[in-house]
Amino acid sequence: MRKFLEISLGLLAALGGFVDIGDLVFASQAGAKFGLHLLWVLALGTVMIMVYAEMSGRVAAIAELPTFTAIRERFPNKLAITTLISASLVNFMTCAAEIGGVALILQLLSGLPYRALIIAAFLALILIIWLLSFGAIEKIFGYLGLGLLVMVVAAFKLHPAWGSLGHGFVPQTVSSNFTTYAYFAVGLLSATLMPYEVYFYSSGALEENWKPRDLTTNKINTIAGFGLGGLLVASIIIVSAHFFQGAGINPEFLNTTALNALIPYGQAGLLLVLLGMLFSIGGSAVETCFAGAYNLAQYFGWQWGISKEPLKVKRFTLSWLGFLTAAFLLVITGLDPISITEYAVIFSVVIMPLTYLPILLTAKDEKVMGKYKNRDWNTALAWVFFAIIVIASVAAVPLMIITQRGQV
Amino acid sequence: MIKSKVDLQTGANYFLIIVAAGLVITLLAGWLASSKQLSSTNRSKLQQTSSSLQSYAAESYILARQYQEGRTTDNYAKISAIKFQHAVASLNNQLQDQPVEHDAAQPANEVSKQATALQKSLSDLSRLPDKQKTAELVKKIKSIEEKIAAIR
Repeated sequence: MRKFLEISLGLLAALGGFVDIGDLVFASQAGAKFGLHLLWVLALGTVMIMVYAEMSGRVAAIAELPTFTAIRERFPNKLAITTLISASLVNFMTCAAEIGGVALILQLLSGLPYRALIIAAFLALILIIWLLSFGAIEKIFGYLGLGLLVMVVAAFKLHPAWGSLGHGFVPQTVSSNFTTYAYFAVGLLSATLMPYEVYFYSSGALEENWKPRDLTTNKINTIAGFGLGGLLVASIIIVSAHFFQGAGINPEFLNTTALNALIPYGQAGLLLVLLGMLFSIGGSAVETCFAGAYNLAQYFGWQWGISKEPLKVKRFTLSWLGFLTAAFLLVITGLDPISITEYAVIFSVVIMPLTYLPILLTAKDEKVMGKYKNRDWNTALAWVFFAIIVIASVAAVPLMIITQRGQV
Repeated sequence: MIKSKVDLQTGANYFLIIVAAGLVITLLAGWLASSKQLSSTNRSKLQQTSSSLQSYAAESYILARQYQEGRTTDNYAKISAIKFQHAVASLNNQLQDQPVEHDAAQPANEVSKQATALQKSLSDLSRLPDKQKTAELVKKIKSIEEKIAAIR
């Protein structure tokens, strides 16, 4: 039971990772445009992130190697620094979008001006990170993000046709509008596999001082945490397909996604889903700014850790403050957070192979992992998934151009 | 570990090129997508615009109905109406600012008229009207949605 209660790291990594502002809108659009036909992509992506996050957590627990240290050790310098720069760019863009997302939700709750709420969100995030422990942060954002479970309840209460639902999990294509379908497939896959999830997850494992005895917790975290994240996104797709597909609605705003809980449950559903969104998007903001700072510290070999006194790890503290401030400055200009995150999601696909390959190489390396190295089936599965990641990364940008970001 | 580095050295430059190209192409794609909006309006472009407009009208109708039935919070209804209003205004401005090809002129004019009507209804909704006025708005928005669908 205790182990099951220890899934807050996986919860935060999963909720912040693939239930962020972009995914909330992206999943709604996927359901509205293609009904249940993309559920299989989400299921595939969820299993892929479970496999890679489990490996990254295991590498952290056994070899005390967080993901970016593994990248630095496995890659030649030029490639490692390219990965660092690209990952930092994606983290920065995503963090900006999430701060904007937090402000948008606060605006829907309070009716106050958007820009004032961006400032409030920025200051609140700094205070939370500065004052709270790592464990408290992951519990607050991980558990309060569970307000989104109202979407799961809504999906069940709609009594979906189980046959169609089951069919949605079978790999398939559509007869018309194939390129847009492919764009959404790549986008959904990318959104579930955003690299910052594993940067954060593996570093979090070290923050929590995981050892070999924590490998069961690692497995539970990845299966339950990411499984729950997948279930939430699947529910959004199901409910959006039900309410929006027939009505010709293409949801572009967070408030439209919230309609999915408002229509069946009125004000109570609305408030629950907005609170769930607030904490899952807030969790993403924390996760991306931490991931950016972890990567820098691990690449350059600085002392790092949220659990440590901020002034004792000055460069690390300055890094997350810098990421948060730069992201704040970007979003306060008035750039649309949802557009920012769409670019971040698609660009992250391009750099995904650079993140996931070193995890796989390290996890299967007997010299580093000893008896905890990958089993053969685990390695084989991870290679198959890696091939899918490479295909997605090659296809992402052309699809983005051809479909004008899914609008055609 | 050193062996892995050597193995990967040859692929490193290819990865560098791919990543750099990916970044440049992503930026180019954004530029292309925004520059496309400056081109003239033809039938196909108008189809896209009216499809987006119909989506906003359908969302606005749901919002107005939920507000009428007292199922939303005031802040949510107000802010959502303002957001839809801005989105509709932006579409309408694009439509009015761009040159329109001859065969699309009449439907474009009709779409713009409906967009203006929807903007006005959303502006009224954002002021959180009383029950009677809201009921009228619900009917008006539904009628706009149907008219846009008919144009398409």
